[in-house]
Amino acid sequence: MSEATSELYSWRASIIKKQLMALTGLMMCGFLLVHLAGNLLLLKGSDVFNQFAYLMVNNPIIIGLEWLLLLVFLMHTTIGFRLILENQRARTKAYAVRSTVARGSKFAFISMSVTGPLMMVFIIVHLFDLKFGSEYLVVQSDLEVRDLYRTVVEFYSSEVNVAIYIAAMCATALHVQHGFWSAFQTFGLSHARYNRLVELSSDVFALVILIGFGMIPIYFLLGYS
Amino acid sequence: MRFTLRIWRQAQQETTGRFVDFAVEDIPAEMSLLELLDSINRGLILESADPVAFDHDCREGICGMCSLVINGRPHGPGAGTTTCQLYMRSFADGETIVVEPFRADAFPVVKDLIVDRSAFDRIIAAGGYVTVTTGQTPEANDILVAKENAEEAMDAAACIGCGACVAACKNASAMLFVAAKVSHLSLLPQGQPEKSRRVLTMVREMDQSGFGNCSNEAECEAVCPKEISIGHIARMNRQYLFAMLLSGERS
Repeated sequence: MSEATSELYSWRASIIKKQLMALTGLMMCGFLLVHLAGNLLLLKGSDVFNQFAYLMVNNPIIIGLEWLLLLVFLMHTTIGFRLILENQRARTKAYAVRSTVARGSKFAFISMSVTGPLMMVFIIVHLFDLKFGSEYLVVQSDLEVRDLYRTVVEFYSSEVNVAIYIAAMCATALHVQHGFWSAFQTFGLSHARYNRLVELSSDVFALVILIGFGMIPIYFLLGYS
Repeated sequence: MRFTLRIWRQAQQETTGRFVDFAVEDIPAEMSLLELLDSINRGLILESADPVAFDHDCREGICGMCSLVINGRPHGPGAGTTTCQLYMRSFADGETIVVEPFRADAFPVVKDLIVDRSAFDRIIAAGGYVTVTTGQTPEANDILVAKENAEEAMDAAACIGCGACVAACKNASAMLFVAAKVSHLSLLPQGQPEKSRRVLTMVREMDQSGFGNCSNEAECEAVCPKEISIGHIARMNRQYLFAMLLSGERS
């Protein structure tokens, strides 16, 4: 729903907004995989993880990518909220009875407009809990580095923190389960030859996110640090 | 059979509507829902009351005039059929059947169950056509069409423009309708000259009409009486991007 315009096309056209959502969404899916790979280093112990964390915050390429990620995040959320508002305006009078049957979203009852804002809140809280959380320093191989491992272990020793984290990962898994294949559809990459594969990849991706991220705090909560 | 029909009554666009219950008895199972509405209306007319306004025309599932959201589903239960093809045997005896108009701000209620779907006409006028040369009737087989394209174009051309896709979509998006038209014409050689321009102008008109944005839930596909696939939406998405970035169309 762009404003009345005589322009033949617009960057505010519904399809373009969706394609920007798809592009930024896919980029953040890529980030999730890198983030997960980094998190798995937690299982290798404090030395390896702190070393990795030190390299990440001191590598100019990573810092550049971090700013790009912030830009992508802001685009995805601003366009997302705009879409939510536009979609609400498209039907201001609700149905008395609603029965949903759709194959597109396996979990249509939890829509992107619900999981999206939940994830946004979680991401901000998550940054303040850990990245900007308690700072400890430790000397590792003659180098003073931040003991991020300790911050993580301390934070996930609380059942409440773990419960919130797991709930957020459920929202994330639902979001990417619909978002990943959806991005292909939005760019027009749809063909009987590979549609099943794309949908399957979406399910697998969501499971990897849920299990991969979800198991780490449980591992610490059970006292395996 | 015995039913309670809970029907949306609204005198005109500006007034607020409400549900009115109609209890009906001795209804034959082979009666269609629209015939039941006819019989309710006959009763209302005999009482000099205002009959329930609803859209209908061919009553054989091909004109796209009938609408209605029945028990929360556009065109009622059953896949691949329109409201006029819905028979009372599809409901349980004694059931309360809720009948509402299509809900979308781009489809304002005109009266009772009738909504104004002229936004679809404006979208068609914006680009849903092909240019043909005048003069003598051309030889039918002059322009060859690949079998696959003919089949796919025919699948899209099956769209009767009823608007169930908009009614079912949680965002009231018209993407399936517009995609069916764009896909149908762009798959055929006759539709090539306007291919890029068509997708741009039809989407522009769709956006300006106040429909929502597609979120790929495929609710449209599930209720479409002609079972049109969201694969056509993918084709339109692709064509829009190409038309915007690569075609010479500017203004």
